[in-house]
Amino acid sequence: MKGMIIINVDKCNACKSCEIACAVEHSASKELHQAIHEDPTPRARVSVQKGVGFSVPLQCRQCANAPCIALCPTDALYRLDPDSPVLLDEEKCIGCNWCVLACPFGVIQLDAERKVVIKCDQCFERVQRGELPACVSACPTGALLFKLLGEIPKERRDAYLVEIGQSLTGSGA
Amino acid sequence: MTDTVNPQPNVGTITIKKPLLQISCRVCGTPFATEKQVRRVHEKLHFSEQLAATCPRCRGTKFRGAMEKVLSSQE
Repeated sequence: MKGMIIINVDKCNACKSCEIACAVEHSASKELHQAIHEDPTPRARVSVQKGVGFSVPLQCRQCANAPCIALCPTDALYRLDPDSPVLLDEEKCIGCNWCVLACPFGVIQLDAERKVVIKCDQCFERVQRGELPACVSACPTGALLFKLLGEIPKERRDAYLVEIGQSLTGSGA
Repeated sequence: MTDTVNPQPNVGTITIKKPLLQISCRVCGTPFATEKQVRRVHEKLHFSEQLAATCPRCRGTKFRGAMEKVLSSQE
């Protein structure tokens, strides 16, 4: 199932349920009560950012021509196919920080303790099982939605990217 | 000169430690990457010089601001 996580900012109340669900999903036990005692402490791949009058959960945007993949020297970041999320092979990651520097959205983090990067994989295994990503499933207000690529017109996706790109660069590039 | 932390590394592994000067983020002033790293991001990924010389944290803030602009323009 190929999809993307859509953010409905109007509905986000910054409860951070998505952050907790994400950390638990990426823990060894996948149980909240056990996860909080794990060492190293599981970390979330999504971060709720507060703006002026709104909050927004930010995670990897799964760029089409992902710059993090382009700069990864060990091929630890990869895609299974052009529509799949960008996945991380922790065995290959050497914690060199290139992907962190390459991410235009600043959403990839380095786990200094484990010396590997942390990035959203859209809960690839859950989605393969037919479930929703953990953050989407945990969101109590429906601020996070998981849509199949076919459900979103390509024109709308492209228009959104152009709008974001213009706002980021201050140009039409 | 590259300095090895462990003079007798385990077979098949080596740990290298070399101090490198970092340049500061153009937005917040925090040192975040070496000049070579910033140049490579600019040249290989065709990022603007401004974006390449902005730290990941400030990029996140900028992204949030960009979303805010897009959302307010849709209202």
